[in-house]
Formats: sequence, structure tokens, C-alpha cells
Amino acid sequence: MKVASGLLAFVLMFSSQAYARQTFEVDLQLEARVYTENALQSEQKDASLSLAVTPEWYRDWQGGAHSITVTPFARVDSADDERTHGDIRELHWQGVLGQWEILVGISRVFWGRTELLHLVDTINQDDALENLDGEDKLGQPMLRINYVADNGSSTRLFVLPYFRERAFPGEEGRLRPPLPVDDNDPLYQSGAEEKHVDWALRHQGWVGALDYGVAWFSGNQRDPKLVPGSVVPVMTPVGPRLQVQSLRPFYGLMDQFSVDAQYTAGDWLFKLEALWRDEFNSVATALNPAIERRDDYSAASLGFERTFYGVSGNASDIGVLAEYLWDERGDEGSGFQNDLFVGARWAANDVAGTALLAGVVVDLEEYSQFYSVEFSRRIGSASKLSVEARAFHDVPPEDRSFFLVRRDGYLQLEYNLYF
Amino acid sequence: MNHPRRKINVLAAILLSLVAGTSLAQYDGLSAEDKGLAIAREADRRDLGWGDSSATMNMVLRNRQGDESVREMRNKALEVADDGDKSLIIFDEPRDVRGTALLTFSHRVGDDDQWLYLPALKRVKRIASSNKSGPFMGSEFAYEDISSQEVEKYTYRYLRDETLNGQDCFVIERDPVDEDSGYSRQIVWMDKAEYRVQKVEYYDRKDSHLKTLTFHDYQQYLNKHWRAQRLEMVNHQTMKSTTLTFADYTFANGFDDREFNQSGLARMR
Repeated sequence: MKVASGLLAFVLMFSSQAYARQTFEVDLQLEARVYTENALQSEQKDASLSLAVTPEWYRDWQGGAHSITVTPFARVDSADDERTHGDIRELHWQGVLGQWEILVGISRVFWGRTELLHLVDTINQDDALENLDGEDKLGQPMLRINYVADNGSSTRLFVLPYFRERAFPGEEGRLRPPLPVDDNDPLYQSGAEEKHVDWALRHQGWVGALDYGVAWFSGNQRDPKLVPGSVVPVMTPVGPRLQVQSLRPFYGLMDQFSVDAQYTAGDWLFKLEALWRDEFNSVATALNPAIERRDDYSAASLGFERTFYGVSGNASDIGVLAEYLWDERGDEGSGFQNDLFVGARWAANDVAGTALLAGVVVDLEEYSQFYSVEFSRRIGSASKLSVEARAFHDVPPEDRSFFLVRRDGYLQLEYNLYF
Repeated sequence: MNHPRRKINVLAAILLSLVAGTSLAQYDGLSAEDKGLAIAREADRRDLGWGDSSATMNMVLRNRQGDESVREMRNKALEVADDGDKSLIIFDEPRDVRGTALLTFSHRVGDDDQWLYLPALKRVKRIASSNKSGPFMGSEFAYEDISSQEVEKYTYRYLRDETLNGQDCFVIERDPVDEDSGYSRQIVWMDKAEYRVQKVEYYDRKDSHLKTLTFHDYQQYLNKHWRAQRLEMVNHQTMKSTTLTFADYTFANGFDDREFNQSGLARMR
């Protein structure tokens, strides 16, 4: 009887038509990409056409106190079989009860402040097949409990019961290491592998002009190390040797403490992200049984953005950005070990929302450069045209992470249609 | 000493003010500056206690050639005692910005605090709110035109009485205190009957007439609070115009501070 009445209350709660809101929308994206330099590997393609679809269904009850969001994603790519892929970005229930907010299911979470590198953003795996900017993420299964204090600050506990592995471009794809990565056969530090229960705790809030976040994360590293996969013996002038045919992703475990902050003063924004990581990496492979180490390092990204409004007497704004990137590991790390990013943002503030973002990252040790330009303009009320250009320049072998993709600069045209 | 006449006068004044609300005679003998400020304070006082509200907003942007472009938004607002209001605006149209939401804590003195929610990244970002004169969504409304109008944001000067569209009005000049404002001054027409703003003329930093805003179709809510259903902004320098229409106004929704924070912003649909 008790169960029945509870069930009835549940059904009534969800069937209540008052204050309910339901939306269904579809984002269709057509993409054409041309790589401006010849590929390093003969099998890599020089151009691609691609179609992506992101439908989203949302429904809430009781004025948003409970909601369900479902957002699948799929892409078909003409050049790379691996880039033809799908994902579930969101599939969750969210409920709000007073100062508590609970989310159960698949979702995406963003942490961070700086523009170029999203250093402390840890919860979700990158959808590395989408773009190299780290802003496309795979949906992460989670339980999230959020407590919002009276002063507006919030404390969030994340329990992450299933790990999402990173997917790599296929043999015909660009922006990949010279050897194919066998992402179907990853290695893990944890015996539980992808079922290792990762967790994180984050506190964020603001005091006056300062927005801050502090976070702790414990679990599988999101960015895998690539270790030798299959090997075959080959004859060389100096005798027989083992040659690596493919790479395997290896996911170590880590504990990570991070802080992020932004100070807003008039037209100035000052931004900071910093982390300290303790990594456990111990793996034996056919070729290299010696990978066993515990890394303890720090990394940071900090800078500013200054906006000039109403430039030359019209409505447009120009923003100037500069960010310094540092990683204690040097070239062994992310590649942003002692780098400077400078860029400019232009917003026309017109009816079409025309905007341009251009910038360059310079490695202050090797002087290699990475250029990026993004332009977008609305067409009518339900479509948008974007142009994206990326280029690598003067990358020496010492700049390891960029050396592998030094020929993979591209020009991309993107057309988004909304239904 | 006994002063029966004065007592009677005071009593009559109290009775009169109880019957007729605030008497216009209260402005007698004030300087133009004090009278302008007193009128602004009275308008503010009359709207106190609205609590919270929600409404849908529709903007039609027109250029010189008459081409139209539409913006659709929903707005939630919360009255804050002794400071500026809190507001949440969520964008529905155009489609490429659907789901983007803006949280504003306005302040009587100093810059407002503003956070923007970007749904593609699910990122909440504090933005510089010193951009007062920039266009809101490409329209002829600047951010400062749609933000919470607090008495402290201007200095005032009563100019004259004038009849506008058959309504007896005060005409007041108000000068923005903030040096980031795009205006040197504004001329405001406010009706004497209900202290509702009927028209505003905006003068740019070079003191030339930039824009005119008119308020239409006032409706009263909770038997007290007047809200215009339609605002017409015309830019005389570019010949562009924007019509802002409010619909589905509801009051007493029971909103509280918990919805007007960054968690609530990210949850907004």
C-alpha cells in the first residue's frame, strides 16, 4: 500500500502539466576541411566532408524542479572511418530540492577560466576526433550532488562509475601520431580498468570581483600515454630489431588538486588555472617493460583579457588576450611547457553576430608557432556559417607533441542548421 | 502657546496624502535638482514591493531598409532590498544562441556583476559589465537601457511640465553618474498620475540626439505595479529601430536567491 501510494505520488509528480516545459531541437552541421600541406603518411587524406547531427530532447516538471535531458550525437566523415562516430552527450535526470541539486546519468561538466588551454577541466574525456581545441567532450556517466550555500557558492561531489576512453583518428585521418593507435585495446594501471570508480570534489563561488574554484580529482587519467603496441622483428644493417607497428593507449591513475580563478576589474579580466598532479604509471609492454614511474608535477595557465568597447565610434568591440602556459614536465608534458598565447577577439555586435578570434601560440624555447583563426556569422535566424583555420609553423622535433602533427594545419568551412 | 490653525493644516495635509497618495504640493519650493530627484524617488517608491516577476521578451530589429530580424528571450527578475535587482535572461532566438543565459546582479552604485552561460561548453563565465553602451543582441537597446534603473545611477534636474499624448507629465533631465555610460544626458517624460516613464530621449557623448524610446500599453499588476507591454526605440543617427514587446508577465512566482546564482544559471531552460 505504501509502495503504491509512493508510486502514485511519483507518477503525479511527473505527469503534472502545470509549469512543465518540453523542447526538441536538432543541430545539423555540415563541415568541409582541407589540409593545406601534404600528409606525413601516404595513407592520410588531404580533405574531408563531414555531416554531424545533435538532437536534443528536454522536458521538465514543476517549473524546472525535475528535468530529463537526452542529447545523442553522430558524425559521418568521408575521409576517416574512425571519425565516423557517435556518442551520448547527455542522458540524465536532474532534480532540485531546496539547496540540493542531484544529477544522475550521462552529462558534461566544464571547469576552468582560461581560453586557450582548459587545463583543470578533468571530468569528461575529450572527443579528440571532433577538434583539437579540447572543447568537444564525451558524455560521462555520473552521480553529481551539488549543495548551494546561501552566499551562492556551491560544493559538488562527483562519483564517476565508468571511464570513457579516448578515441583516436584512424589510419586515413590527420592529427594523429605517425603510428596508428589501437584504441580498442588500451592498458590500465587500475585492475578495475574502465570500471574504476573515479571521484571528484569541487567548491566554487565568488567574492566581490573574484570568481574561484578549488577541486580534487582521483581516478583514471583522461589523457593517455601512448606505449608500443604490436611489434614485429625486422632486419636492419646493425642486426635484427623489433619494430613497433602500432601504439596502445595507457591510462594511469592520478590524484589531482586544482585551483582556478578570474578577477574582473572594469574592462580587464585576469584568469588563472593551476594544478598539481600525482600520477601512477606502471606498465609492461612487449618492447618497453621499463615504463614504471610516479610523476608528481605542476602546471599552470594564466593571463588576461582586455576589451575595448565601441571601437572607432561604432558598436564593435575588440578584445586583446594573452596567456602564459607552463608545465613542470617540460617537453615530456602537454607541449605547453613554456608557451605564450596572444590573440585578439573582434565582435561586430551587428544583427548577424559577426565575430572573429585570431591568435598565435609561441613556444618560448623552440620558437615553434601555432596559428588559429575562427570566424563566424549568423545567416537568417536559424543557421550559422563558421570558418576555422589552423596552422603549425617551424616545429622542431624537440617540441614533441606538435612535431607529430606539424603538417596537419587546415582550413575548415562549417555550416550549422538549426531545427 | 496654542496653534489650532497649524494643527488643522497638518491634519488636513495628512488626510489629503492618505486619500490622494502623495500630494504634488510636496515639490513646492524645491530647487530644480531636488525636485527632479524627489520625482525619481517617488517613482521608485511607488514600484517597491513587486517581489519577483517573469515575462517573455520579443525584439524586432529593423534596419534603414526595413529588413527585420527577431530575438526571443525569457526574463526572470527578483527584487533585492537596498540594492539593484537580480535578473536572469535566457535566449530562445536566434537559434545559434539558444540556451545562452545571462545572470545580472545590478547595483545602485558601481558596476553590475554579470555571468554568461554558454551551453555548447556548459561554461559559466563572468563577463565585464563595464560595457554599458554596447548594443544588446545587435538591437538599438544598449545594455544600460535594459538594465535595472536605479535612482542612484543618475543626477536629476526637473525641467518643466508638459502634456504628452494627452497626459500631464513631468519632464526631467537625468545625467548618468557612470563615466562608462554612452550618454551625456537623458530627457524623461513621466506622467503625473502614476509616475510611469512615457518617453526618453537619449543624447550621446557629443550631446547630439541619438535615440528616442517610447513606452506603450501600460498594464497594472498586483493592483500596484505598472509595466509597459511594448517599447519602441528609434535611433535617429542610423535610422534603425527596435520594438521590444513583453508578454506573459507573472508576479509572485515565489522566486528566491537560490535560482539567481551560477547553479541556477546553468540549469535555466
